[in-house]
Amino acid sequence: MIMSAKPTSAVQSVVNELLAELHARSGCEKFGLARESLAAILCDVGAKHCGALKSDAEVRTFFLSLRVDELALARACAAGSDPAWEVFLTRYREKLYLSALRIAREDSAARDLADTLYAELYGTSTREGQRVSKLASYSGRGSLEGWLRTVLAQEHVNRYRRTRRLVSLEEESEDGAQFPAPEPEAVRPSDDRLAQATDEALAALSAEDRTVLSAYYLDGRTLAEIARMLGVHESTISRKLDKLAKSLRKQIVAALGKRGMSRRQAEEALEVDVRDLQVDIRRSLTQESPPPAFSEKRAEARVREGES
Amino acid sequence: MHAALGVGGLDGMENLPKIVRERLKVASIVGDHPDADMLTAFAERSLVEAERGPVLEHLVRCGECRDIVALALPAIEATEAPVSLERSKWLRWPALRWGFAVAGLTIIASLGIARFQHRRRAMMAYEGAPPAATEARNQTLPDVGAPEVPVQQSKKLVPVVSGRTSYRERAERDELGPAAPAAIVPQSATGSASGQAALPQGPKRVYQANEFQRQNANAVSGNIAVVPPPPMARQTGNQLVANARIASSAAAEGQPSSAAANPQSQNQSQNPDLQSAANAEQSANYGEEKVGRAKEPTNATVAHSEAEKALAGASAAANSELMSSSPTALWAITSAGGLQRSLDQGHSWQDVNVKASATPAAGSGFDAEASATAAKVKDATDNAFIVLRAVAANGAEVWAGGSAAQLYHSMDAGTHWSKVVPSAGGAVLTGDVVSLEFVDAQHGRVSTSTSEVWITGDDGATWQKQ
Repeated sequence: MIMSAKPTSAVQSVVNELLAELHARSGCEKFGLARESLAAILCDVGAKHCGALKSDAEVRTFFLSLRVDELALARACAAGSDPAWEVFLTRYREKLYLSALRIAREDSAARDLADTLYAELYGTSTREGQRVSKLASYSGRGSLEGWLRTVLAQEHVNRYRRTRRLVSLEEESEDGAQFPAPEPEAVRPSDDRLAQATDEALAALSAEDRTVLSAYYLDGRTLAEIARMLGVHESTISRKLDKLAKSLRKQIVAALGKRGMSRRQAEEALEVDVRDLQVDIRRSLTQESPPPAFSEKRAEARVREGES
Repeated sequence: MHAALGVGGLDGMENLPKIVRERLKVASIVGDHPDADMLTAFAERSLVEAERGPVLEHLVRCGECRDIVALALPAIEATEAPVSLERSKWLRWPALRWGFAVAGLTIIASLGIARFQHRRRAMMAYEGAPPAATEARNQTLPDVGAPEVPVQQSKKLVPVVSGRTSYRERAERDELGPAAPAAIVPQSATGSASGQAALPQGPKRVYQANEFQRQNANAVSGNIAVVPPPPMARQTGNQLVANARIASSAAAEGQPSSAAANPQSQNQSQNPDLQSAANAEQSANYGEEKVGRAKEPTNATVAHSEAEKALAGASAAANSELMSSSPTALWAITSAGGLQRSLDQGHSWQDVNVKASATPAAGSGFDAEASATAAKVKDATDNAFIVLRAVAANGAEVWAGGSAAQLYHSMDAGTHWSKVVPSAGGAVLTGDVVSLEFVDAQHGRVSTSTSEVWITGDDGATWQKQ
């Protein structure tokens, strides 16, 4: 998600202003990373992420909240610094494997996953004679450890999708590209009004509420998992889900009422099992194929951005 | 508690109309997937609202990114599982049941024998047969001795310890009010395992049993669970090593340098039982006592003492590493909101109670006296159960935060804690602390459930609200 870049000059002036402090904090000399390189890296990160920030004060806070030490470590590794790699491996080798094991849930798959990531981190692929390390795309916004876990999870999800694709020969031959996600409007359920009313009620919810609903009802995540995903307390999620289920029902009935249904009809419409009702929706859903999410190509593209 | 909440919630949740699920699924994905940076920052709550919104909006529609965020969650459950497993070995109901049963039997048996002895002596006297009487007395003595000797060996300290315990309980109750048991930290997994295993170390085991009871806040019958459960007889190599650990910990605690008051000796002992400062003196006494017993040559095998030496060395090394601020200590929050520390790269985890040694004001002295007075002035509400949500460590600097704006800070890798109340311009931090980030010892950021962000640039001395 690359935001429209803040005027580079603004970012640059903030970087210059904070460089002394950030440089001291990063400890980048240990890894053989010069002050100028750090400044360049910070400008690069700023250009990529400061789009949403309005004032200079916000940009300043942004830079101060960066994990500059981990950023320096990652970028020094990407540049091939041996001391940096030494530190990186001491700190993360064990954790990386444990995370892979947790994600893949099986030893050989976990090793495979971790090995693949290491290859990407070392930068086995070369571009114009230059090793390209995935670590060059780390920006220090979250912890490096968290970023490594996320990258592992992305790789795992990609793999899962690839194997799933292989199972379906038809899908593979079509490469998924032939099946753009169907527009919601294009789907004609047997009763438009119910779907419309539901969409209306859902649209009125906050993004967080809808994420909670999706994670709970579609992904089957536990309350604890959702709570940790969103950084809130488990009981908050529990209460939220309870409240959402109740209010959604009420909202949908009200919206159906506005569309000319009696209360009783509306209640009945809600009770009908949509799986029987909306065969065509289900069919279109099974054909739905998400856009090629976070493919290696794109990851590489990002790496290149990070480099340039 | 959470489980109950979850179940209660689930009942209501099943009422979600199916059409809602269908419509949630239909929502089409818009835009690019957020990159790993954004997803990580999202999960760690370090995005500003303007960035968080679009990511959430994407997550609503993109199951894959939701999966990625969920899969990339830090491994809290994974590290928690072995701990609870090991702990449950000791606290499991069958073990306790056996413990109760054996305790009951022992009490009945000794009562019966005492009565029998009494009656028999009386009968002898009544029958007036002096030679037979002395003979009988001589016979009854070993009879009585037989059941009593093991009892004395294995739980010689029962009356002593329970007496002491009740004294401690009283002391704590006086000082901390009725909620005092909350201040007691459970023994580490290894500690409990060894307590279970070590026959000759009856005192320690008895002490733990009492601890457990008091944890359950039912410190009514301090004597009941003192009898070890049967499985303790199996003494494996591991357990032997664990014995050594206790011995070394006892040794460390018993050092003349006023044991618990000295953070270094506590670290060295790897003793997770972070005594509340109010108990400093008593625990020092304990230490001495334990040294006395641990050093008793009765059952100390060569392996035992060797293991002891090795472990003492290892813990000393761990300690020195810890002191030199290397990242040896790992920190985790359990799903129940407890704080745990591992000094051995995650192999074993100890519960750390931030409250046990928390002083109300930040940066106050770490001497035992100050902590003791601090513990005394703690009010009852302060002992309410807290649920921690986030922990951040930077060498020996550790921050932990959780429900009800609780924020704790330790400057010695978790041995002593002080409560911190960020405030700026009349405003104080509210809500639950949901994330803590400390880029270094000085600069940190605290996010709350009420979307407040507090920033410090001087190790928590002053704060700025965003």
